[in-house]
Amino acid sequence: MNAPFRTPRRRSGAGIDNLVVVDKVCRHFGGRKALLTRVAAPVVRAVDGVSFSVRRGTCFAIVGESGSGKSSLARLVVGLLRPTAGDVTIDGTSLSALDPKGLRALRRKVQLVLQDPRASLDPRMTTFDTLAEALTVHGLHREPAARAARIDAVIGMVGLSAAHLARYPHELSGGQRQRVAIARAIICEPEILVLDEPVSALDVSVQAQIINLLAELQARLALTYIVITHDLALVAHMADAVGVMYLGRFVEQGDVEEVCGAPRHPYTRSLMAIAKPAATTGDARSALLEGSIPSPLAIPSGCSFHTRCPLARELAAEGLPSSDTPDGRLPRLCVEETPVLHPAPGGRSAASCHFADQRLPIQNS
Amino acid sequence: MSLAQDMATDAPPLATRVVVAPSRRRWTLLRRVLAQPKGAIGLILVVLYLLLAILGPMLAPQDAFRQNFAQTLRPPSAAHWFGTDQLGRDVFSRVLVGARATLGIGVGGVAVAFLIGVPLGILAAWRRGWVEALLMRAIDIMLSFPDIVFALAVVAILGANTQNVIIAVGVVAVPVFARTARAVTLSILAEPYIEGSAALGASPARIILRHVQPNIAGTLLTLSTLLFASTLLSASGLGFLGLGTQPPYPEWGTMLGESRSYIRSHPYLATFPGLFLAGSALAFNLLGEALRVIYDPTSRRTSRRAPLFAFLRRRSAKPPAGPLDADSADRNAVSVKALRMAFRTRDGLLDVVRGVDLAIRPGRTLALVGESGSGKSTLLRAIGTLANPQEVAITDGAIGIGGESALGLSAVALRELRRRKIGVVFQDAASALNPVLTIGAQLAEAVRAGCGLDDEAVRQRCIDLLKDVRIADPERRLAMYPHQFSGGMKQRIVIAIALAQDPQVLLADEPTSALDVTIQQQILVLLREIQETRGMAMLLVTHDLSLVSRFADDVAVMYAGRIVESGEVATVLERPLHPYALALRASAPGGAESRGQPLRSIPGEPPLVGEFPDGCAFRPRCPRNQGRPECAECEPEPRAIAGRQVACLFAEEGLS
Amino acid sequence: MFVLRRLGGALPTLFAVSLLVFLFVDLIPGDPAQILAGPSASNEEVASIRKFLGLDEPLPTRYGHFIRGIWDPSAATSFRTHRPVVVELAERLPNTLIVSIGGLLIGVALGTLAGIVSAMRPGGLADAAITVLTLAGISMPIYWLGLLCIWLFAVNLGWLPAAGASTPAHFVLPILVIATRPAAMFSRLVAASLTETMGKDYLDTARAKGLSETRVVLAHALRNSLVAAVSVAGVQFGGMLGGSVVTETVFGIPGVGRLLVDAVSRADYPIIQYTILMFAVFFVVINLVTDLLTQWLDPRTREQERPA
Repeated sequence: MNAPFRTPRRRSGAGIDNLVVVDKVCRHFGGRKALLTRVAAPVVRAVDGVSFSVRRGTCFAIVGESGSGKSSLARLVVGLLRPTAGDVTIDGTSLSALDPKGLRALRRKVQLVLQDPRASLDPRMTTFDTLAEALTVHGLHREPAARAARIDAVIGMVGLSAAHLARYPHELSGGQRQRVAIARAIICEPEILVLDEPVSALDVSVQAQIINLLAELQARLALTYIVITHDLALVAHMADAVGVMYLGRFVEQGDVEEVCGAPRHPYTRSLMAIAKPAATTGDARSALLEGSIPSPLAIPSGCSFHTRCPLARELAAEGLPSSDTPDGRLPRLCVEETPVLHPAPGGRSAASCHFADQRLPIQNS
Repeated sequence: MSLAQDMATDAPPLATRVVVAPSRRRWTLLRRVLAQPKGAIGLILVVLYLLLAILGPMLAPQDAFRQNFAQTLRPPSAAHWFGTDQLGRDVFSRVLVGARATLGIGVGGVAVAFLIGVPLGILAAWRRGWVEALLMRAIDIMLSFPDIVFALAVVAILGANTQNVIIAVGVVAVPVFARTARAVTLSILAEPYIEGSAALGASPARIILRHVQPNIAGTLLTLSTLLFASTLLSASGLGFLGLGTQPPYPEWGTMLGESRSYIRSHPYLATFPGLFLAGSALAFNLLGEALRVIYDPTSRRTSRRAPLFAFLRRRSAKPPAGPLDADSADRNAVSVKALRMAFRTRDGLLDVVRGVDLAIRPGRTLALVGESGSGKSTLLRAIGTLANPQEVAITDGAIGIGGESALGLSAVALRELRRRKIGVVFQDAASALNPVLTIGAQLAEAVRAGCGLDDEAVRQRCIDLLKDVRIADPERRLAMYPHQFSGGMKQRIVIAIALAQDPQVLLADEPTSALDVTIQQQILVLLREIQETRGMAMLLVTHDLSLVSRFADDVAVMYAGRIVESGEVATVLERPLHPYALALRASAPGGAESRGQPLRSIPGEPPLVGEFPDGCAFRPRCPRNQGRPECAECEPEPRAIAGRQVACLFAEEGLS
Repeated sequence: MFVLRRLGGALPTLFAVSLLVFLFVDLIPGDPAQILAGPSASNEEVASIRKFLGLDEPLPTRYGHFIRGIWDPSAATSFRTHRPVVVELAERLPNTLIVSIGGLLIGVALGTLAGIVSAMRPGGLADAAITVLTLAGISMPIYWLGLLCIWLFAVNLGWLPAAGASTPAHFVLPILVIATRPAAMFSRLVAASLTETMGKDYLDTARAKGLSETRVVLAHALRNSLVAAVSVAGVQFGGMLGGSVVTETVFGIPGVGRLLVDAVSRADYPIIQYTILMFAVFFVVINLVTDLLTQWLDPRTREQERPA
């Protein structure tokens, strides 16, 4: 029960054992002319050129607010969505090279656990049926006895008992449902679990149980995790590496100690300030972001964060070449030029901010 | 068919979430149908009618076709129970024999429509794209013809006989089935469990057969039953017009048509076929209604309806307006004394709030922390005088707002209290604003309520309020509708409405849990500032302990309908003494410090309302319990320990 | 602007409808000229009828001719009466409109009222009565109800005339009979959507403002629930037009519905075609009006794109 999340073992030869490689992947929605309508739907750039890789046995976290594209990114990794551009490689197999059937077969390796276990289980299937379906789909354990044995083993692994097998989802509690969803995901012995907000629909006192269960399973089954969440405290607790997503792009990514410990992008800094317990932040108001995340239909030019960026405002006030925008006076660079990822000194993280290396005003103040 | 079209328009909500207890489903369904009076009557009638259709010709006492010109147009008698018609045929026998044709047309028509419409609808929902566009266009075109006119056209093309009537009424109902099947399939496909299944690697065929089909079956069964009734009426309508089943074959509609010429002299000729026809439509409508109640979550009104004369009981159940303790009431903006509340259910009252004492002084924020089932939102609604008396009963205790009792008030006094003293901010701002009214109208209503301001003053006040909640460009925003604002902005507007009459108490029910983290901070900071500058008392209900330290002065932790620990934030959060409060604090991921360590979790889950354990409700999950008999004996009362109130017999153990 | 766009959207539908109605004659198994001429007619007779009908011309020409018949009285005449179809229709349309619109208005008014009563006092005596009446209303074949009404009010009580359309009194029974269906539908619809609306948070917001319960219901709940009801009202009116077919037959009213029924039994194809076309055009127009009404009631439908 008490197996902790493993701390990553760093190897010098990077990229040797990357189980998941996401390479400049894009996913745009709309834009096509629908039948019998005159105007083309506007393009939503849900995911716009995201790259990262996940080493075997580690946990990669994708952090972002609603509308950041993190859920689309998760579905791209699982192959439920096809990328508009770029590619996802899983254990050396490129997803774009697979036909629907091959993709379905690959799903044995990559499983998805969804946010709300109440909705993610078919209300008309017992726990047993739900688990058996996973085996049927992949043609595993065809013998009834072997099948029952496997189901028994897995249900024990997630901390439930045989008594739960005959129950329907509405007869289970929230935590139990999420355990069933996890059991369904691991029953086919996958290598990768994609966890989409795995605990945010659960009661606070139950969340810790599920987080511990996930840690235990990762250690026991040598799983690789990709966690999608909005909760930076959870990221700091369980992830080895993290990508912070804003409007379809990673604004900062790298080792979790670096990104969470010394955030360089103003957006990450604000998120961290919110996540930290009050004692360490002092005044929460200094980290407050203005406005809300813009619509992915109209992504701001230049640095997409410029409409809300406290750093940009400060820099403009200090006399950097600036221009007036609807969101106030902002440095020209931020409004006009798309930033690239600047690696941090030491190279263990990178942030896409023009001024990532220059100063950290929030921390100074 | 118009009824069926109504169904089709209703389809999206109809399909939302259908959870029929699936165990031994067939019998369960039968039991649930029979449990409703209309279901029982409808089902019995339907069975009788179907038996009549099968056995009718055998039961007929006389030859339904034999003409007897000696005995034309006889009134009902012992020999001819329903009389005889213009050709001297026995009407009773003709009604019995006609059952087969009449109901057969209905069955055939619905079958035709179902078999064509449902696969098309599912296909459209599954394939989307041009298949769907094409199908929806075709349905639009078909629905451009009034149903009976379309059926008439089909009959005009094919000729008038029984078989063609089946085709006609069937084709007319195809779009209804296709539309409904598409709508329900779409809504099921949007369910996360479909995605879960796809992510598992299930093939499309498997998803349709194993997941979609069982979940839309109920809706389609309901639709078929209701459509059967209207199809029956359309088909018989054709018969009535002389364009259905042709003489001499009996069919109830045709018989009615023939009787039209004799309505003045021999009204009984029209009576019996009409009675049977109306009865059969009624039977299927009753059964369909019963099925709809089972499968359509939006029509739960019948099941939730209070029994007849419930309003009398409601009056008498009103709690005693407990006299408030005068001196404490003066100092507290909110004071709740020994409050007990219970949900009204069919099985009686279920305790949800079980003896809560709570006080908020002016200018302070009390955070009420709890998980699902703790009763925190129910408590907030009661304090806001918004608890629906049909759903929740206040069984004991007292609530005081600004020194005034909030219970047992007349309607006028209640409105006055709500206006002057209470502001409420709801969890979901999107549903807390009326979608069809402008922001300006909704704000103005709050500003104007009970005071005689002129229009210009009201408008100025609205603008000021929007400025107070930091909405830029307020003049322009007044004319906008809620859907034109983002989630955070909507919540600001809800706050502005709550502030309209300078309330003494602001009640916020999880005001930020539906919002993104960065927006959450903005709203909480705003609420805190407003509360401080106006010196209001605020009750902040939340499940998130991490917000409490930053945004509240006092905290009360609620579990299973009781407050287990309360006191000043600094005192309580520094070292919680109740094991539940302690667990809440300890189990939150603490970031980098806790890396590599398992979180300190407690076993089990919060109990559901109505399933609270006896004794100390936290006992089954409590690390301090360990079989101590004291914990099971009685519910611990709150005691003052180390500067706060704790309801645990062994609270002192937390100090060491 | 929206009206134009919505009209533009309706044009393809109208075109498809007209094409369908036009092709209707070609869908008939066998030769219409042969059917018209009767089984004993000689080949020459059939050929001359065919020529007279223009059936030997190519399809596009005939379609053009068909469309011209909409405004050109000489382009389309009844097979039986040899009078222009337009004239036949125009003579009978007022009767049909009086019955349909009258029935709809009365039905909607009664239904809305019943729905409100039923939703406000669930479980009360009035609610129970309305539920029973509603069920009876949707189960009742209106042709039978019509016959019963004639027997009771015309034959037995002698209060109203039984058949015809010569005086206003003649329209009372048909309007009342045809109103039963929309009344029943509307009472259910309004009751259901009002009950659903009554659980919404924004009503609590309104109550928290200190508004009276009457105002909460009338200003906030009713308008929202009417949104759903109106969209069905449009479909209802189409049903009413269809219902007029039966009602006119029962009450012997010379209307468009009666004309259609007679035309079907006599294989008078031009009449059938143009009558169906007219019904369909009505229907499309009504849907348009319904959409506009919904837009007016519900601002969310006014813009196609919402801010994210």
